[in-house]
Amino acid sequence: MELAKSFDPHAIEQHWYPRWESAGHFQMGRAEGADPYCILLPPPNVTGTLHMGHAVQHTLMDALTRYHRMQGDNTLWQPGTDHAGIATQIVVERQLDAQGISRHDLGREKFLEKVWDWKEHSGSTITRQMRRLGTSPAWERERFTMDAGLSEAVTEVFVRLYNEGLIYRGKRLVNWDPVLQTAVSDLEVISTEEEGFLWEIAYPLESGAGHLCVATTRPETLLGDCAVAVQPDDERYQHLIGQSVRLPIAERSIPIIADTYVEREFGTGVVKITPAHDFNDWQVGQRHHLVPINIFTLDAKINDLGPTEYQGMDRYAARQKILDALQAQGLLISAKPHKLMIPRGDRTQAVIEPFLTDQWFMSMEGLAKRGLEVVDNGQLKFVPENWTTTYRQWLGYIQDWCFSRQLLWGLRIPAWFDADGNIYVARTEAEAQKQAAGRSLSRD
Amino acid sequence: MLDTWFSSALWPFSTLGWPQDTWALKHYLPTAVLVTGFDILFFWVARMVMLTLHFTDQVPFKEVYVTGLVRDGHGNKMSKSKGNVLDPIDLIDGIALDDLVAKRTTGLMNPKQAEAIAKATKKEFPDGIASFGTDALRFTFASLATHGRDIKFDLQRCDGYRNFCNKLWNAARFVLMNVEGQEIATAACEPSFADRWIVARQQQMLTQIHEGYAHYRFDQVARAVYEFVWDEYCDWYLELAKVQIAQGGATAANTRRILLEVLESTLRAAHPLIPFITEELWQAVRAVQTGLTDADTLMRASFPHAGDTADAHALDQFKLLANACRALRSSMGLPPGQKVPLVIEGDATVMAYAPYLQSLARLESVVAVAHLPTDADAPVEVVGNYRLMLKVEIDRDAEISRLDKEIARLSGEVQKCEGKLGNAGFVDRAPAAVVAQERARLADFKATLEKVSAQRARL
Repeated sequence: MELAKSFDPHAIEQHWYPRWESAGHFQMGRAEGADPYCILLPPPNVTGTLHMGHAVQHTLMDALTRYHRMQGDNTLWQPGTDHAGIATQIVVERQLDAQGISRHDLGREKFLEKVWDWKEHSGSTITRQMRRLGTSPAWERERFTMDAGLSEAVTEVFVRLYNEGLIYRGKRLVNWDPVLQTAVSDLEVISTEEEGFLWEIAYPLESGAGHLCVATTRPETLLGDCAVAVQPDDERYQHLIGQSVRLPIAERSIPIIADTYVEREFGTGVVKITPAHDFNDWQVGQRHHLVPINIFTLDAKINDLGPTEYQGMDRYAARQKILDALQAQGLLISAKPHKLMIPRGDRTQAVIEPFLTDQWFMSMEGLAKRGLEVVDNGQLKFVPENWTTTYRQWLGYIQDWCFSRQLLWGLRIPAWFDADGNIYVARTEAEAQKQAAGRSLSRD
Repeated sequence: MLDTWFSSALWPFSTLGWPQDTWALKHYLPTAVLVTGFDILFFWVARMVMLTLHFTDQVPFKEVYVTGLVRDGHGNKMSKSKGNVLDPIDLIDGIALDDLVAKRTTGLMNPKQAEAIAKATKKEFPDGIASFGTDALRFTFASLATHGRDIKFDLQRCDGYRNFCNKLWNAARFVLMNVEGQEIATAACEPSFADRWIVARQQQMLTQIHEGYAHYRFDQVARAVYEFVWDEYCDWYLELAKVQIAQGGATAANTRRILLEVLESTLRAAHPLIPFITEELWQAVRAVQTGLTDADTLMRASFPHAGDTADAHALDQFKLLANACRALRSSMGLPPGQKVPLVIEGDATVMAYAPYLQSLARLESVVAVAHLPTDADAPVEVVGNYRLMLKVEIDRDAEISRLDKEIARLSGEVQKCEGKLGNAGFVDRAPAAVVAQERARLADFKATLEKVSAQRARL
């Protein structure tokens, strides 16, 4: 065999990769008595392209797989791609936008067809690029998070967790993107410091003996206030705890409560409590058994719980109108420039609204307990080791997982409702129908 | 709809066949290791752990290897809006400057950035990006994969590892040219110190590689391969092997065997990092070793175990002697082609190295003596108990004129330095470091002048 005079990587790569693959050298090892060595490929987005981070990780996974394969281990490098719900949906939406088509006009079924088309068209880009990198996963076992088998596993997990009482439906504040009209994960929210204002608003005391001055950065959510709160030890206000104030504009009476969450030094030391529109206020509301009042529609306009003249107004238009009205009534004390953290959706740049919705949750406490045990007893190790600390902190303070999303592209929740709002969780619609004994059902 | 992370949280058991009780699920769960970035440790990794435990009573993986984040050569995060993204495929294939600029400036969220991005790209890559090939890119990634938080990607490293691939290629070609059609020993016979050394030194590399993989120190694996191939096999052993092959007979046949065996197992050891070049070369090597041209694949060959490293230092003394000869040649300004005799003071066992030194240091002859001549004016290098001197017959007149010129030049430099340092304005006003540097220059010139003057005096 004659070696070329100089090294020509291109020719060699194109010669060997197809040979290796077609000869089955990447396939899952099944030898009797050999040790197993398996690596799961973190599934890249199905419509994505290979970036440097992938390339580094894939190189290292491939080196490990090849090393163990040559040591005689049974190897399985399990490949596959992720449907990447929101990321893929946005890509297709943008493409449609460019053609002047809105997904809302298209309707659910037609839109999903477009997404599947896009998946067929660009879905193999990244696996083709992985081949260029010389990787040796068991391509014959390639999976997709929405293929039949994985969908079945998802349904099975959902039904079992629901039957075990680990999945429940509840009202919760979520990060709501009013443009996408969906709950988004913390990962999809970027908080940055922006210029804003701190307004001081007078809430007249019901007793008629003056008013309380409330500091807020969000005057429009005043319509949903359920209380005002002060520090329990704050001698300026202690004598007022238990009394009520008259909520301006909404013209409701709300209590003055004491809670340690309030900072004496922030603004006037008196804050409005709006449990339906602020994560901290939600916690305060829970502690004081306040009934949250949601004043926004799904696209962040004032809903029909607001005063008639505000209904249908965008949140920022409503803010201005409320400030004008307060000014006119002599209740706007001051407006000071103020830097604050504003959360925005990483895809839409829209200001994220804490929003009260019906969502599905997974109880995490028990699951996390086992997750902690396995690092304590060494069954699971992190390299570098310091990540163990981070992992412990996360699992130690875990909250229930809100895992439902108001998206079109993804796996559907196997739950059906009847007209009375009863829930039927089942593996199939027929099974749900059987549980519902003849009532007509609609899917979540 | 379900959060995307819901289905990926089940990835370890769903892909292996759950809820069916498959062979793959039984055999491969828990998996060995998850290689991932720290940004999704909570969203993905922790959830996989919890749900896999809940449904299978097993951890999904025994280890999680958390890789660093890839940054550009200046340490910045790579992003479309910064315009510093590199596409791995462009590094493999190369890309022209215009195409790279077009790629970086299309589809920007803020099109106003296009101009600045184009300018920066043209400055950093005036000729576009060269084609490095997959193996060089993979080797670069491995060499950068420490346990740090960041992976600073540097194109020059890529260039260096492409050179490494060329070096390996050329070494293999050299070996094949020297063995094809020649007698190759089939069984081990009396090895030379050089043979014992290269074999043991290779075991040292293998130990480092096995340790590197066990602890996810891919940088250590890459370094072990690089240093062995470039610094030891190519720079030393190939040169020593030339000497042994020139001796002919059984020595040559055995040398050819070792050249091939060490190359063949090095290719196996390097394969997981650089799969393509090693496969191509290995096929050629196997064809010579076995006489068959349809070797299976390097992918399925066995990874070499690490053996005895006792002789890994067997070349240390020789290297010192050879380097001493090279230092002597350089200090005497000998042209590379000129062969000169070496005289070594010390015990005669050193003569075992003679033929090798003669070849590597371009010596006319090697003579061991009890005492170096005292009348000679040549410089001496000391290696342990040995003293080395090159015996150079010089053209007296030419040398005198050369030395005179050198003395004149050095005297001039000394004068200039002294002038500067004698100037109070300079000494007081110039930064202390500059003054110190000037003083050091003066001392250097004076010392050299003294040596050259002594040499001149002896003539």
